Amino acid sequence: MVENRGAWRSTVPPAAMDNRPANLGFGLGLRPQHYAEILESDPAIDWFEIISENYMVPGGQPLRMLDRVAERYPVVMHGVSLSIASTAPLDRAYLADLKTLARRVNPKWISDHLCWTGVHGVNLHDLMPVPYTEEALVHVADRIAQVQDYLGRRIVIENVSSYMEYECSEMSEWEFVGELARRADCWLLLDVNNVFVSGVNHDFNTGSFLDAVPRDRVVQFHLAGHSEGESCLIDTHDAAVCEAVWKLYGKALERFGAVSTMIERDGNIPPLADLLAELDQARAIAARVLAPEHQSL
Amino acid sequence: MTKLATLQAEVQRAILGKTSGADHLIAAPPLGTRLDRLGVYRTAYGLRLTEFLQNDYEKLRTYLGDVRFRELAESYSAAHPSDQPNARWFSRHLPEFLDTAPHYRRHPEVAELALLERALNDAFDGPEAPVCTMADAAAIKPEDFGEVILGIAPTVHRFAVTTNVTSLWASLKCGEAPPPPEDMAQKTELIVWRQASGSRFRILGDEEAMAIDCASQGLTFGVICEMIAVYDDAGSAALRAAGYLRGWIEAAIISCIRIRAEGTK
Repeated sequence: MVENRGAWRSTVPPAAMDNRPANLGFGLGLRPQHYAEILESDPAIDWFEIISENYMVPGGQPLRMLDRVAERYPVVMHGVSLSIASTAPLDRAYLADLKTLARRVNPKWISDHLCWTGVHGVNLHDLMPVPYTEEALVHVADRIAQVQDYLGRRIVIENVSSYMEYECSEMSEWEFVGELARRADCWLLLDVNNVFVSGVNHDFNTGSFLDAVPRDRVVQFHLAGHSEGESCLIDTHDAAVCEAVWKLYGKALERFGAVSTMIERDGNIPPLADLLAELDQARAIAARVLAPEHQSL
Repeated sequence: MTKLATLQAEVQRAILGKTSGADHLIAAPPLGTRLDRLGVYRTAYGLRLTEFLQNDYEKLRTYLGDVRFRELAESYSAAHPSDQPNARWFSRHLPEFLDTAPHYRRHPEVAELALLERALNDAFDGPEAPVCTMADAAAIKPEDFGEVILGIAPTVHRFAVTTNVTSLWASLKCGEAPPPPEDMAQKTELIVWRQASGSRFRILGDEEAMAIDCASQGLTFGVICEMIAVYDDAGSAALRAAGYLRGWIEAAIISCIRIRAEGTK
């Protein structure tokens, strides 16, 4: 479908199984509340995901801690401000800071969200949903290609939780995500909680979502908790992963196999031991679902 | 403008509260109304910006209380919508905003508390620099000290306050009720900087403040000594200057010490 692509022609070699990022195992988001315990006790966490913007600062304690964690654990960079679907020009200063941080951290990959965060010089600091139109598809695929060329690596794009959809959408979210990954030749981060939240909010079948996402593109899973708003579920990351999301995680494992999995927690941050217990739950589900006897059933 | 650009502009205007709604763009949800769903983003926008301010101005929030702080966050957000991808910089205009906001101009300790908190935050994650040691200073020959230039650490912030804001800050840090705000007869000189991993501040005497400002301007240690001699007792000026320098080095305020190259001013 090259004819549908925008003007940008990527110089990043095409995605293939031999350049697909390896499965890192089971990780957590790196949060300041846990710095000391992580560095003192070397907990059984396979890798850490950082919020890129939290470390896009001139210096000081955050970067020093990050350096120490990155010496011991594989690290992945996860951003919230790339605004890949915005119609505002790509923020070159932001991209330069992102690249500088990547040089420092040497992350296994860099991810951000399928969303826009603002236009006309304003940043809403939210993950605004995209209309699922051909126009948006061309626009976003083109911008991903530009970012990948600038960073010199393939990036990972995550599906967001959304609370509204647009009248003008011409396809489902999963059709959009799948087609985008193919056209932009990017990897995907499948946020299982986001699929669940959006599935409830827009009354779609989460199984259809999982079935439509290309298996060879997914390199990471996110798990998180959410809360109930007045008219919809809200992706708050301030609670433990709920049973329904664990169940959907099992289905995701059945479809995509062993994929790097991490738990996001951004509010009501509990002791590290609680998150380690949740991570063990993810490990147990993966072990059960991916066991040979289960797969042969 | 493309359809996508038009949609994003309209949705953003609705979230910022500049139009009554972009509901015609939103698909009918299975539960609630189009406006309910848009309202989730609108509410989240206000809450998020307030949270950014709370994170950066924790003591100001305690001082003002939740209700007044929320009102302040609303008026600040309206005047200074975020224009940065990194939320860390959203709150950076708050001290100046408070300085000129009609309601707060009558309460200068509020702007000064914000100024102090911003300086501490900026020092905390400010740029890295080498730290000069006493051994570095001892390596300079005594006869060369007059030509010494001091590099001030990039995390150093210097300013003066006119209220008892340092007492307010200290009480709030200890979780105690702050003393009543007070306009001081004389301004208080402050220095904020990072030492090891933490940011800190201290009150400077006028002479020391003058000395460190001269060092920041790149004046030689000899010139600084001469100015100190003019400021107070000339006989002990060199001793006082040496004391200041020792204190700055021990506090990691000096990032380098070098002898001015011949022929430069």
